[in-house]
Amino acid sequence: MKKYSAILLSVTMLFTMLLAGCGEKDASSTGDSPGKEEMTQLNFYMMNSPVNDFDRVMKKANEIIGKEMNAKLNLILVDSSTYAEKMNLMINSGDDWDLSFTANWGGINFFENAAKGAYADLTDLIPKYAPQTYSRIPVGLWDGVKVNGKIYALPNYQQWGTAKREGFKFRSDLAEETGFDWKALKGKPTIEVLEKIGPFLGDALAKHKEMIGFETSSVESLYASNPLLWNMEAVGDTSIPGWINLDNPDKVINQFETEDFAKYTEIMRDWYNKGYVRKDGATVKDTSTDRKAAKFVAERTGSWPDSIDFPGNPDASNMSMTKGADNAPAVTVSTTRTMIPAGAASTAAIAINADSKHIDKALQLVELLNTNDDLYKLITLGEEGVDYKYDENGKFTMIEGKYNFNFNEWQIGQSYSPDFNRAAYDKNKDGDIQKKTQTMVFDADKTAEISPVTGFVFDPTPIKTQVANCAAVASEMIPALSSGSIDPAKALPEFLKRLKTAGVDDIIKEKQAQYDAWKAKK
Amino acid sequence: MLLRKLHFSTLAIHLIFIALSLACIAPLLLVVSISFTGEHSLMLDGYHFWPQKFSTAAYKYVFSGASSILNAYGVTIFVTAVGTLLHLLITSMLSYSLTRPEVTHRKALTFFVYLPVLFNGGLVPQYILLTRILHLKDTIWVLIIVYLVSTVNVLIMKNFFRTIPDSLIESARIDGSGEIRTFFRIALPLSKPSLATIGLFVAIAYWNDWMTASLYIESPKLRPLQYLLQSLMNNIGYLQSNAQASQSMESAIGMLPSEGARMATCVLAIGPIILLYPLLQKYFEKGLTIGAVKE
Amino acid sequence: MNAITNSSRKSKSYRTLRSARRQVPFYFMMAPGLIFITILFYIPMAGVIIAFKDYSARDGIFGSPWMDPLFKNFEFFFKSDAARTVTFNTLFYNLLEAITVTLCALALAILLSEVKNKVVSATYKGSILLPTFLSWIVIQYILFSMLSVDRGIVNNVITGNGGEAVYWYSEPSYWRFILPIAYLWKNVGYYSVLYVAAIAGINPDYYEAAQLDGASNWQRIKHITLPLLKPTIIVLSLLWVGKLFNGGLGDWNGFYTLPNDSGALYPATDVIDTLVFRSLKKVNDYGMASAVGLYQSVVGFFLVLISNYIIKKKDPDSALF
Repeated sequence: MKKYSAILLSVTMLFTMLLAGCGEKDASSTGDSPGKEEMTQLNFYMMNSPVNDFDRVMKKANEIIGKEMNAKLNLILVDSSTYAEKMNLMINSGDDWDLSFTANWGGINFFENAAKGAYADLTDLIPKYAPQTYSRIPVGLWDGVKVNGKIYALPNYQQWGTAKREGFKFRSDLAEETGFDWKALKGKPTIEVLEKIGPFLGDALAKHKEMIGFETSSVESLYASNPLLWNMEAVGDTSIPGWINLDNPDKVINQFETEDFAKYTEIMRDWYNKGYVRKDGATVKDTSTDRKAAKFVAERTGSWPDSIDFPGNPDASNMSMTKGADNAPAVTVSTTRTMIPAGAASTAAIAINADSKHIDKALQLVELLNTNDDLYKLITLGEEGVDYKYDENGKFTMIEGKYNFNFNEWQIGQSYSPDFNRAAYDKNKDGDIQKKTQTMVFDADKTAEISPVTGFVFDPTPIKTQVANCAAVASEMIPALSSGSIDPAKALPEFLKRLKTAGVDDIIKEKQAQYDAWKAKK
Repeated sequence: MLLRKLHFSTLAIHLIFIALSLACIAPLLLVVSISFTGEHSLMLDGYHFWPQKFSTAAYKYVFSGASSILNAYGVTIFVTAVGTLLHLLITSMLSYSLTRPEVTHRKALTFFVYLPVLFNGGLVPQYILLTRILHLKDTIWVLIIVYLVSTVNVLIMKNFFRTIPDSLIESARIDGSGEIRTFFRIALPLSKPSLATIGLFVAIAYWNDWMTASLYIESPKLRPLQYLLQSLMNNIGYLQSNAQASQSMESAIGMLPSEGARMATCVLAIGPIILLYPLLQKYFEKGLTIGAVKE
Repeated sequence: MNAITNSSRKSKSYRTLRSARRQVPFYFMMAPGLIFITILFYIPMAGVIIAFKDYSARDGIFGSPWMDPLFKNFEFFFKSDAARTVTFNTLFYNLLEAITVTLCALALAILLSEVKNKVVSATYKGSILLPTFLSWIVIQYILFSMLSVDRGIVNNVITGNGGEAVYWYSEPSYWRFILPIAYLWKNVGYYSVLYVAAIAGINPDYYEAAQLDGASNWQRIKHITLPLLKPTIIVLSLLWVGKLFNGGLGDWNGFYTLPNDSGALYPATDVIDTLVFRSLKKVNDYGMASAVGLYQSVVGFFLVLISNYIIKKKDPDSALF
């Protein structure tokens, strides 16, 4: 028997070697190329779909990078549906990577990974290797990527700013037709706003039966996904219970136990019964069909300045997804304060692997991407004349079938620039207006209040069980409550009871304790 | 009387199958129809089995967004062909041996083969194994190796081999044929229908797999078809939700053909693999011709 | 006396040697499969201990600290108020699927073997196989284009005939039918072709003999076809028994994609795996995920051992091991 097990063993070895052999060969061939010496290859993982002519543009980009810092950028595009999983696997298995796009959403887990030590501590290195990247960004944002007082990522500051101000958008033609005074909503609390919108929706729908009053979907809840609209701010992840009221920022509360939420569900139920919202709003995932067909009378909007502060703002002048059609003119009014939310900085940022052999080079690369406008535009837009052009009206046009970065520039650097040279602006009046809007946004970014929670990182480890179970209850009940499809008189108490059973109070208590401890240290 | 009865039952059988075939084909026709319908018409008229407004915009969009689609077909066909053949070879050798009474520990070995059906360590250990230990990340072999053996198929195939009469194998042995030779000369040819069946399903698994590619493949040139199409579809969703992107895209191509393109990717993805069935058809039909082998 | 024992010992060892030598070629043939199973399945199996660990990448699978208490990762599923519902759903759909798929596939396979015209029979087989080629995502698109409230084909027909549009995605009770039908639709082709292959493996001599004896169609099916298909049916059933606590008998993606994330449907559409997947999306915890997986596996394992034991008692040849 020994003999045969020996044979078996040797065959096993052979196969393993064979496997390892063909793996090794490929690994070495993708590694450093023998010709040029000391050229550092930096592997940068981002979320993107396949890009046409990728090799051509990357070759051009690497000519610049090679010249400026003797390195080679290997940009790796991972499909968005598996990006989070893949990066978490790479991190959890100790795989090799240098830079990666990171964020606090979509399961990418910036804070968790930073706390676990997966990302490099950049606090002292940034001023040294990436001084301009550092100085361009509003100081408050750097607090947003800190964990235990240390910086673990470089926020990608974007051309559309980071301060938030929520509001509503209405069909301007219908507002005029029914004599709706939308301007009066400015700065009002959301419940009051909704109470005023109701009659307007009734009037508009009476005249236009085929339309839908207000947008509801299973994906977004006007309440649960938009704390600022209710003068609140999430402590940790937005979807996990535990928010604070901005007027009483010391006390963590269960946001679903508030009077506002109860009133909100009643209003939505009323709208549902009156036919202002879709009957299947709780179950509709994709509302783009309705949007494109210009069916909505009113919707929530996050874009500002609104039509009062800046008449003619192009982002405010159409209902969403109807820009091309021009059949849905709109006005917007913002109703909340202007605030940089705690999660703003970690919405889009770049992290560096703590185990990378080239942390300094990786930082230099980020600095180069952020300061070399030609390089950044080359990677995010392609080559002018080949991949895009400006037409006779000065309008930026992409050439079909050519290089197309799929508008993912926000993942690999700052598209903000004081002289508007890092993004595609039309070379005409539209472009000028866009620059003017963005100037207003940037100015507001500098003066906007900063969320009291900024810099606080919630560690869910002690109450993971409760978080998982609350998440399951919420994903089942919130869409129905937010779209009016169930009667809140019965369903709301049931929802709150189920949250209690799932352990919501433990979460609130834990959040409060961690929050207090963090504040005491600050 | 008998004839009429017979006639009636055959007719009933045919009616059942015609109804079933329709139930299976019609939904696919719907997919094809939607892929050829203009986006605007889908929005206003809804879905129909025949395009209300014919349009090829969806296909144009897919092809212009993915110039590497031919390369992707190449990768997928290579992986499917090589993977299926290797899978069949490995699986049939293993399951045949497990049916032979000469193998004294065959029950224990069957248990060894079966256990992984129940227990698996999850993604993290698999990722560590394939990338850190076997170094297969970003090679075409990783796409093949993950489906190289399926314990379920081993067990199913074992049953097929059991139906081969012992006398056949015994007589081959008396004729002086070695065991391995007997397997390739007698057992395998007798099992063509089962090989074709298992092979077809393995091929579908290889063909439809995009998860492996999205976790382990990083170079664009090694991306298989399903990954490319899946990613293209996700991208449409993203572009749609991104206000700035959808505006620029729409000014470039009119209306983003989101639903049409989704269906067009389905058609492009399943088109070629459907042809595999007619190709394999003759092996399904042949069945056992034991008499022929005996003589 | 001495001589006899000596010679018998000799012949015994000779027999072992001979039997061992006869096994060699088989081990050669099994080697690649066994090696790959060892490498691909057994090595990563060490990962099941993550279920008992407070896993962190830095420390690795073996270095991570043990959970305190050891079963803490299991807590979340058993504490969930939906645990009972989803367990019921999982068993309900699995039993329904196992029974409907087996019966329909057997019936279709037997009927298919009655269709004598080769081209026609191939066409039928090809058609019922089509759904097998589709992924759940594609099936979700198809289902949605049929059931969408305002644009779906079904509602078009209903409203076209003066009826009220049906809100398919809001009413859980419909899905007790829709999901099993979808699984049947997707899988029945696969299993009938599998059974057709098994029927093709039956020695035609048996049928000829039966015909000579004047057996009717039904008698032939009952006394030849079904008994000879029994081993295949038993193997498939045993495989399913092991997956009884896994949604969709292991293929739970349909339960996740088909309801289109409609929360209202969860009470009727959630199985163990979908609930776990959705709950853990927020927490991203490998430990808790593998804990539930391990629980499903262990239950399945015991169910298989018991079933296999019973089968072994009654019909030793059909037992899996």
